[in-house]
Amino acid sequence: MKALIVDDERLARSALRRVLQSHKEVEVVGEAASSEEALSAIRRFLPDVIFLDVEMPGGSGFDLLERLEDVPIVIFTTAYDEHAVRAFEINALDYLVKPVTAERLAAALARAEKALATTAVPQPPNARTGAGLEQLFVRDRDRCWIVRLCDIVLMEAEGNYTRLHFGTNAPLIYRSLSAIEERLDPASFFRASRYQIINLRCIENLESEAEGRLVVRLTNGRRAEISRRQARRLRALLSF
Amino acid sequence: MAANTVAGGASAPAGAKIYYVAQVCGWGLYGIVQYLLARNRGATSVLPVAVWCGIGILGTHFLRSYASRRRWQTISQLILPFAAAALLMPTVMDAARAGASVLLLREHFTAEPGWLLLAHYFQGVLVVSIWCAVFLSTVEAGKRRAAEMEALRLALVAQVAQFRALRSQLQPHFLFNCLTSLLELIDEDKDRAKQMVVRLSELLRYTLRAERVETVSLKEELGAVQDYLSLEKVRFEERLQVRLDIDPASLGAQLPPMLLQTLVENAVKHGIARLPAGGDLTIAARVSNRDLQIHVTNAGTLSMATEESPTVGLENARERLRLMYGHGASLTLAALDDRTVRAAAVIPAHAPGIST
Repeated sequence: MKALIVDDERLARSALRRVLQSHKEVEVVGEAASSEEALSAIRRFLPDVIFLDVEMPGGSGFDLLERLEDVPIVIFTTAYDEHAVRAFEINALDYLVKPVTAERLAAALARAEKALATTAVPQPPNARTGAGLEQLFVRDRDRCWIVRLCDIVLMEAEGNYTRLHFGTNAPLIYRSLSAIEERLDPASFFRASRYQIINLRCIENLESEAEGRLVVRLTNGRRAEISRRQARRLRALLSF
Repeated sequence: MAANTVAGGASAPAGAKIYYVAQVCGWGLYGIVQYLLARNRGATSVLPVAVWCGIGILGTHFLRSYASRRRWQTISQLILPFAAAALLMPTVMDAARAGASVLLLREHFTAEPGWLLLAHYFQGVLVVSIWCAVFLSTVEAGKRRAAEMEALRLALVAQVAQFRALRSQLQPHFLFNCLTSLLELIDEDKDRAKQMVVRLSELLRYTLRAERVETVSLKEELGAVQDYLSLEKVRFEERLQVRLDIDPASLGAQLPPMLLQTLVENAVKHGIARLPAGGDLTIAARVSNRDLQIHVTNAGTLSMATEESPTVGLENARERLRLMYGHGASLTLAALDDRTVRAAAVIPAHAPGIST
């Protein structure tokens, strides 16, 4: 497991490195002292897991994650920040409090290991920057999620924004539908129309409409209409 | 007539003495006037008027103790019994006066004409009514004053409590960061780790003392601030550059404990800590116009200083100054240029006005 440590304090970084020494399965591939450094280090080293300090100069840990096209497993670290801890807890994000204890670190690494094992999705052929975990960090007002792409049922364009439907949530992210489409696996996602992308694994049923159009009912109960041209492509894709 | 002050609610009347004086003077004066008028009509003795007034005093005194037993209720609750008394008492008083003339002075009983009886009766009703009106309004005014006093007292109590709560303490965030650094320093540089423990314990001791004293000298506060900064220096290393510009004449000036510390902590937390390359932090102090002037200047922007956490520490410090010195003190945060922020505190040299 390749790990990156992101913390603006040198001593905090080396303290974490020291406790990680007893975990032979973890290879610390780099350290970063700011958001900018972290961004280039992530692109360069493609870590599986990042230890991320929330409070950092030049943008918080959350800001950094929002700028990533592909988000690795994230373990947040914080000294003592009630707001941050509350945010982690309501959003079910993994975190460690500093000074980091060996037990809690071991538990967090075990969870990371498990997450890596379960997301062994086959790599799509097109070039990808991340380690292939296919996660997005999504923030909408005070809520945030690290959502796996395969859990997203439907994406809808709203101007320059895109609304992501997953679980019972539907937050908006500031990325155009086309920009998102570029890095989606075409075997999993399908552009139904100018303003909708559907997850092919989340199709519940298909209804034929007049003039060769299709209506797709998704597992979350939402419907997507597919034009004649796209319907032909979808039929070919699903081979029926 | 009676005047009385009542200290609200169930408590006994505070102005009991005033009541007795007013009662005797009021009825006495009225009695003297009545006697003089009666003498013009040929009366010789003061006795009938005295009996009439005496019963008036007794009756109204009974009314007062009735109100007292009813715990000085509101006017609306007392108005009926008082009105009944105003209508009944004059008949008793008139009868007693007539009785006194006949029985004690052995005067011939001469039946007064009906209109005269009625006139006497209404005169009595008027007198007792005026007594009731003055009494009740005095009670009411006293109650209102007592309520105001109570509100003022509560406001003061709240202010003292608020003041205590505003005393700033070390941020837990800072302590845990210190411990994290310390943990690493124990392996890396044992001597620095030892120094750090000493500095931290000095700082903790100071913050505990700060809870008990009202003001400290700038010299003492600066000592704690330097302990604090040396601890932050361990964390931030070369990112934190500290400069002191202290006029020696200001070292003896008094200020609320932890005030400068709060400003410096703010400058580190919202300024230096947010800059990847860090920056300068300057503490300047001088006394001018009998005011202690403190400037804490740091690299950063005003938006950095106010975003996210709405500078609770600074707000608390400002409120603390207001409670201690009123408008004599001030605390402002402003951008010097687009890369520098300055917190400026002005603290009067005279003694603060609140004690805790």
